[in-house]
Amino acid sequence: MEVASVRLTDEEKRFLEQLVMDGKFASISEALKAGLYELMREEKLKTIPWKSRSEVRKYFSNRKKITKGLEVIHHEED
Amino acid sequence: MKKIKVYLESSALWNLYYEEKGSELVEYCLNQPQFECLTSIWSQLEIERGIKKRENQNELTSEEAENLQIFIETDNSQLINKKKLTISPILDDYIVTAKKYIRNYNLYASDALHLASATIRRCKSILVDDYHFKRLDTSIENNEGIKIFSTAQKIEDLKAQFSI
Repeated sequence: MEVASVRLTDEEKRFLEQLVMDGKFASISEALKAGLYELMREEKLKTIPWKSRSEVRKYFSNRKKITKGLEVIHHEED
Repeated sequence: MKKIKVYLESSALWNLYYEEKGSELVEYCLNQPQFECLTSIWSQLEIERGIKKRENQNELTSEEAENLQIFIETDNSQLINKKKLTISPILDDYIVTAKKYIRNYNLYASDALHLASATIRRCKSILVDDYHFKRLDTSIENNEGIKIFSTAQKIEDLKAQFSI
């Protein structure tokens, strides 16, 4: 883990402090990291072959599905 | 306008991205202003596991699994930002209520936690896939005052239920 300094205006600092006071983030550092992850996700999204949920469903529609839904169908007798 | 709260169980959310059938009703709820959709933070873990399991079974390549995970996470964030979906936390009283549901309805822990999240958040309906629909006892509807819908049901059924 590296430590980096970030220059912030008063307004930016107040905004981040408010997020922390509202309980949305544990610290200013965590709030900044959340924004960073959002940017990283956006960049990553550009490499993904789908733009919408219907495109995702269409992409996987012909896939031979071993498991139906989220779990293996099972029955508990006990 | 008072919104109708609909709880999306993780299997219903999964239908939104991966299954050919069952996405229509979920899409409808998310896109109609009359509905307020909720799910539990627990759904995120169940979906994550659903993706990993398919990767383990070679149903998905690791690249597809990673792409799907990123897409779902980002799409969920966008739905939350657009106020189309709310993520419910898991608090102590949710666990207490879920325990009661396990005892009363012989539910699996995960089903009980989803049902507890839905009833505590005062949802009028819970959307589940067809497999879960068949597993949930109809006495739940009468005792807990929540309508259980299968994602395989028609939009008209949901409209009729809430007189839309």
